[in-house]
Amino acid sequence: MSALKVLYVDDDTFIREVAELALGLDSEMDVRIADSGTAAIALVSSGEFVPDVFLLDVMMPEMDGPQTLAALRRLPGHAATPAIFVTARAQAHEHTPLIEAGAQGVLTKPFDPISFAGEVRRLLAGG
Amino acid sequence: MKKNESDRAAPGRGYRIASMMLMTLAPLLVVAAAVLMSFIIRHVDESREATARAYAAQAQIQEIFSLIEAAESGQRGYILTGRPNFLDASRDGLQVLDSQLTVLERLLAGDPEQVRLMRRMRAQVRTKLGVMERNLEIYRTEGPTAAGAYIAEERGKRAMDQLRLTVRQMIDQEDAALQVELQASARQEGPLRWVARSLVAIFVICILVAGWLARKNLRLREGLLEQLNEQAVRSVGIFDSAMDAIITFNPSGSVENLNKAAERMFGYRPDELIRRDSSLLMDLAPGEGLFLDRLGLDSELGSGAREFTARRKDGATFPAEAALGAMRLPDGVHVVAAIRDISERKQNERLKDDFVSSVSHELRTPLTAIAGALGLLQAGAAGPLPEKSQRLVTIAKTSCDRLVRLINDLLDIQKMAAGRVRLDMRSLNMVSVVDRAVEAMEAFAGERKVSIKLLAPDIRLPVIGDADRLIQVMTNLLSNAIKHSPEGAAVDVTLAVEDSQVTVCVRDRGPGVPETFQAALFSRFAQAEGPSSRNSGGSGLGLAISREIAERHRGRLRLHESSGEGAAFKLELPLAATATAPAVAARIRLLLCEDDPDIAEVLAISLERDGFQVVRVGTLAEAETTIRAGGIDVVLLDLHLPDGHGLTLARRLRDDPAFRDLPMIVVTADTMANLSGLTFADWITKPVDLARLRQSVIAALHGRPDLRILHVDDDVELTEVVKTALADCGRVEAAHSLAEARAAIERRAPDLIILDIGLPDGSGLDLLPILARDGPAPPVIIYSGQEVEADIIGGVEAVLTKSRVSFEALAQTVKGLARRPEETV
Repeated sequence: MSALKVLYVDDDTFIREVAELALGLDSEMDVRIADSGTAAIALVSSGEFVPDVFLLDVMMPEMDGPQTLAALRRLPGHAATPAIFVTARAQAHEHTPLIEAGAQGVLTKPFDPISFAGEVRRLLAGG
Repeated sequence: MKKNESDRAAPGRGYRIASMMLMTLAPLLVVAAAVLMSFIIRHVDESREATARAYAAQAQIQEIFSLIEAAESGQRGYILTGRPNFLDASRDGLQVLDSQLTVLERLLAGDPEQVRLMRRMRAQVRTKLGVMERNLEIYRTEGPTAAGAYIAEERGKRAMDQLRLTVRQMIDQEDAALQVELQASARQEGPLRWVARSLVAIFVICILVAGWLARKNLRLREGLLEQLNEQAVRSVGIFDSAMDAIITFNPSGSVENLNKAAERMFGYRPDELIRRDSSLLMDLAPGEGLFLDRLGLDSELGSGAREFTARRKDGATFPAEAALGAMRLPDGVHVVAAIRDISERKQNERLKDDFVSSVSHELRTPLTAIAGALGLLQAGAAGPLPEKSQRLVTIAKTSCDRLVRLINDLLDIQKMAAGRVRLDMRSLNMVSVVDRAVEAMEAFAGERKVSIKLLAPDIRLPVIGDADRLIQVMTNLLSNAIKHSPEGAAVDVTLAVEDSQVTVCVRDRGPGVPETFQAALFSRFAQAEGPSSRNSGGSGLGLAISREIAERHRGRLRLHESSGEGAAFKLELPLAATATAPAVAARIRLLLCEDDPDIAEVLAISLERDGFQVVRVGTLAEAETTIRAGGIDVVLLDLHLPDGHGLTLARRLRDDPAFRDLPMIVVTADTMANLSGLTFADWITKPVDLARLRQSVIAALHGRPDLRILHVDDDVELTEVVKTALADCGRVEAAHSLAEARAAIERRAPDLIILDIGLPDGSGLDLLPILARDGPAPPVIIYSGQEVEADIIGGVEAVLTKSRVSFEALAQTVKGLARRPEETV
């Protein structure tokens, strides 16, 4: 089985790095990061990296998470690519619109770096 | 206010006492006077009789004497003239003499002196008559001269003189008797006059007192009226100057009265609103039925607050909050609503929410990086660390985690304190809530080498609550207990029912809560100082949040016990009633024979809430005594009891003609028991479903099995709601398609069917022919969103339109149809 290709989009440099390291603990994951919605779209549309899942921060300047997801989904071949939002908004009612925006699930920050990759896999499996 | 009332009560009490005394004393006095008078009158009557008798006696004495005198002069005339006609008159007189003497004797019988004189008189009369006889004989045989000589001997005169003396004495004697009687009646007159005067005096006093009381009463009334009037003026003043809009509604929900603030708030004049329905102003309670029921306001509790959208005359809407109160008046329950425009508050709340939300977000973002980086370091993602660095990284990571929890708890308590946490209240089984919390904490307990022991009764413990929040409370209690437990110790979790409360007690074997800290235990940021305090990893908000949650559930959370051997925290939540409305069950007595006190308590409380009277016993012997004493309507029988098997009692009762038909319901954990031909109204296995128990008691009372209702509708939510609404009527089975309905009917024809028309796989009406196939068709109620004319469809008992008919009305219809067959029998 080939590695799971993950695209992580976040405007915070430190969190981007931590997430990349954390996800990297799972040797079956191939992780790429992007620092904005625009960068993510550029990367995916170049065809250089074809993600199996989008991990998206919600609050980002210029393009927020849901907008980024909508744009990514419009790219050829990604209409059904699963997406997970990673947000510091912890309250349940704040999660509902994210699920409605078409996400597979929501993970809250701060996340536990050790179990982060496992959580992503759990959400993808539909649990 | 209070003082005035008590002052007013005092004369009222005096007034009552005085009128009561008057009412009891006056008749007593009148009766006494009447008795005395009748006594005197009898005396006067007797005296009058005696007087009359004395006069009669005197007259009789004179009469007798005159008869003798007449006889003597007749005899003398005959002797002097020789003419026999002189003798005629005397002969006639002498003929009645005897009877006259007898009459006199009777009149004188009461006086011994007179009796003696009477005897003498008779003797003298005889002597006198004898002399007269002798004289007449001498006259006839020897002639007038000899007779004259005989007269000259004066024997007749002597006899006559003696008789006259006796007569005189007798008359005197009667005179004396008369004198005595006269004196006696003179003596009676005194008391009679006295009694008459006292009676007059009593009546005058009574009239005076009555007049005084009447005046007093009148004044009291005037005073009260004045006060009422004053009160009314004050009330109107308060009513009209209140900042809040105040509107009162009559029992049907129409506007009855409104104040000035209400006029301003809604922009209507009073006459435009009075007698209009509340829905004109606000969507407080749509639907049918009593306004109070629609509001869901408890008329006993009498108050409640509600948020809703209000509508001005110009059509503009605004968020409003109403404090609702119930007023029980003779014509029904009126509702008063104090309404406040909360647009500004809503705005502020929104701002604050946004602020708290973004601050916590801003804090979380850097924390995410810190916690993540530390976590990776700690896990060795950057290679193995020297021991000292490892320790420092652990400290940093632990503190970071605490900071995150603190932010979460702060968010929680801020919302909780503002009452802004919407609890998702549902009917829950507290046993499973605790189960889930224990399960969630088992890993943490394992890390600390602590075990959790759960002790719960074998029964559902229903509470109304938010499962997630209650689990949060339990997790918090468990986590505290585990943190404070020494290694290898156990945390005991005990569920029970005490005084209509479900209680959960969490007990640890730790050092206990220091006495100095107990008072502050539930306040925010409370953590005991001490060696283990700051590194326990809590935010210090856990117990404050937990107590807040408990109180929002109308429950309590408190420190139950604390000593050097450990601490016990107790959560108490009200045991939920199983039914929404009290049953028709008042005065129905149930005998509950159950030896487990916890189960007995839960069953008894639940049944009592349903309105039954429950007699609890723990042994078969007690049960039998109580049943034989009579007055038990239904028996609930456990099978395994300390003094024997329940079936032996059941058998004995069935053998006795007096109890052959007494409904019995078996409540048991034993599913294998042998019924052996005994008849029971129902057989309920533990853990007991309280709603089922209630239904079967009602069914047992009606002497018929549960009404089986089939509800055909594709709306799953609706079938759930209808099932609850009809819980009183019978057992509701739901079918969500035509196919499911067909299958259900094939399995067993229902007693009644509620039918939607538009189903995913056809029209509900297609079921009608199937229903009539074997024997008489069960009653059918069309309950549909479409408007259907009742008489278009044959074989249908009722047509109800979903949007127009309340669930109560549906239940009424079902009950009405269910009763029908019994009535025709």
